[in-house]
Amino acid sequence: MSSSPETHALGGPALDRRGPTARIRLRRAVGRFTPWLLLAPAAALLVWLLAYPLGDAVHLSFTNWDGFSAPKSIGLDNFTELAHDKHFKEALLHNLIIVASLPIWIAIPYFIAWGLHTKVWGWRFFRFAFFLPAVFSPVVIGVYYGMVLKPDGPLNGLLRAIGLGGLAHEWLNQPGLTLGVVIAIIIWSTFGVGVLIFLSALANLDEELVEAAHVDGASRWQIQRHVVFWQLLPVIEFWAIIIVIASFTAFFPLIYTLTQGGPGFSTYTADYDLYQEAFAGGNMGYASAIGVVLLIVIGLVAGLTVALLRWRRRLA
Amino acid sequence: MSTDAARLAGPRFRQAGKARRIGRLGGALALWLILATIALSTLYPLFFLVATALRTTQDYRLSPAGIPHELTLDNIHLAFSEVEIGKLALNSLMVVVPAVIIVTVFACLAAYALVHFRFPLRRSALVVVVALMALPPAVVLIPIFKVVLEAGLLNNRLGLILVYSALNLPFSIFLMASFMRSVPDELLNAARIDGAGPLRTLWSVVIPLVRPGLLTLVTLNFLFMWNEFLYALVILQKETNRTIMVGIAQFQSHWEKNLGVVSAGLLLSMIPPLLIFLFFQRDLARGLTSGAVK
Repeated sequence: MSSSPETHALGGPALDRRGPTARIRLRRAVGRFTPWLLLAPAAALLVWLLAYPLGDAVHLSFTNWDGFSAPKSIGLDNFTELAHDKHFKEALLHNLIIVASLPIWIAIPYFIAWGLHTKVWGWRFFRFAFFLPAVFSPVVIGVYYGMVLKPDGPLNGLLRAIGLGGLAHEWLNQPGLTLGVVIAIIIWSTFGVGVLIFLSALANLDEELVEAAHVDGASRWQIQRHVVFWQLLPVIEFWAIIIVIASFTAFFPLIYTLTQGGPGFSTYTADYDLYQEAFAGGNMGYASAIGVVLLIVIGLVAGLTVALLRWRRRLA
Repeated sequence: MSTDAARLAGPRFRQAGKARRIGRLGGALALWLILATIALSTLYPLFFLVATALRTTQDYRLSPAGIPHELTLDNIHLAFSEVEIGKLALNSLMVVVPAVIIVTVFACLAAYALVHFRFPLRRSALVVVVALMALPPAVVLIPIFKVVLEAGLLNNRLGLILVYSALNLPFSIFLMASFMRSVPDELLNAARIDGAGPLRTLWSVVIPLVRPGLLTLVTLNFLFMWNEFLYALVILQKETNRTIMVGIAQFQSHWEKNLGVVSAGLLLSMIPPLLIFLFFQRDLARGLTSGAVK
């Protein structure tokens, strides 16, 4: 693709029969280091504030640290305590429930993108409107829904006004219901990005295959299932991994502003638990262990999701 | 298939074809209604917040979801005087603007090296960038907090600036690299023959060609950082320098009786994202989809 500065320097000065001058030699030496110099600022920042902390997370997870004194090594104690921690297990269970909604999380943007791709009337406007919540901070979304879902708030008001008062609920104060509400809000705020991703994938679709299937007499649904779906699978995988990561680590701002983990602990999530342990309880080492466990769980679930999607391909 | 069958088999089947067409039309209408309902739900927040911010509390109580009747600017005034939303916004800008600049410059330099130079470990560096992209920030909250603490940068804007830069750098390098790949190497070689050094080549040849990508990078990073909450909450704990999202999350409970002020605050905090959304929507979309489709 591209030639490095050295190869150019070797190939270029064929006219120069006396060999490189001192100045050219200096330039070549600098040239060899150029890419490293260009990378240095980014690399320094990444090592200092991302790579080193990642390693330190593992180290801290074996310590007892309160944020003031030096971390004390305590072996596996944090992890054995985690295994018996009722709140953490409950939080992790909620995250697993959230991940279990992955099919909905994929299907909604997928089918909406499919619908928009057929250029329904006003599709540009819809694409625009669906994307809007994605530019709002989860903090804004949390506070907004905090107002809308109040017992005497607009949603219940609307339901009563159209004669569906029986459906009015204390949305944020019913243990079984509230987690579902939180999941619905997160899906609502992110599906627009999924629609964009699937739309741009559909635009890059191999139209000839679709055409061929059509000529062979396949129905729209058959084309969708057997031709389009498999072509989009890499994109679906990408979207699925993003969601798996998000569903373990992106709930904190929403929970913080909307439910504070309640009612009771019914919307406690792992990232919220991590923050609470660290900054309300002062158990920094313990919170690090939560982070490490989370990273492992995310890796496992993401791997499993991809394996599942690929395995379906082999079956078909 | 269906049309062939209808043509061959006479009126009875043509009837079926008609029914089918009506069915399809009905399906399209149903789809459209579903899409319209969803669009209504995503646009409603804007209406609700504008309406609630501009009406009195008594008026809001009468019909929270409806059209306002008693208009007032008090809520906006209170948001500025009591919540100090202007100061919060300034605090955010003082973190976000430097961080966006750092990320953009560092990402351009790094992507330029990764795309247009050959050197040992280049592939590994790319793999590391992609791997770090998948690292969720919440997982490394404690060790990053510790680094900031030990550097004496807790409650210092510089701490958050550097953390934001680091957190968004992998994604930015990846995005910039994908844009720079479209710059032909011939152009770079030509610049080199003309005697331009690597930085000069980057500045006068590569950057002008990837300007749309640069715009994507800047708008996306601005949006991410303006909206970020967890690290802002943990690193800038003092009231004097907390960011707008932290301010909003914390003031909402004090104003439970006056949702107009809460709405006004939310609305004002949404102005930068909304402007970006209105003017740079295409750039945002390109940034968010480029990772998936490539």
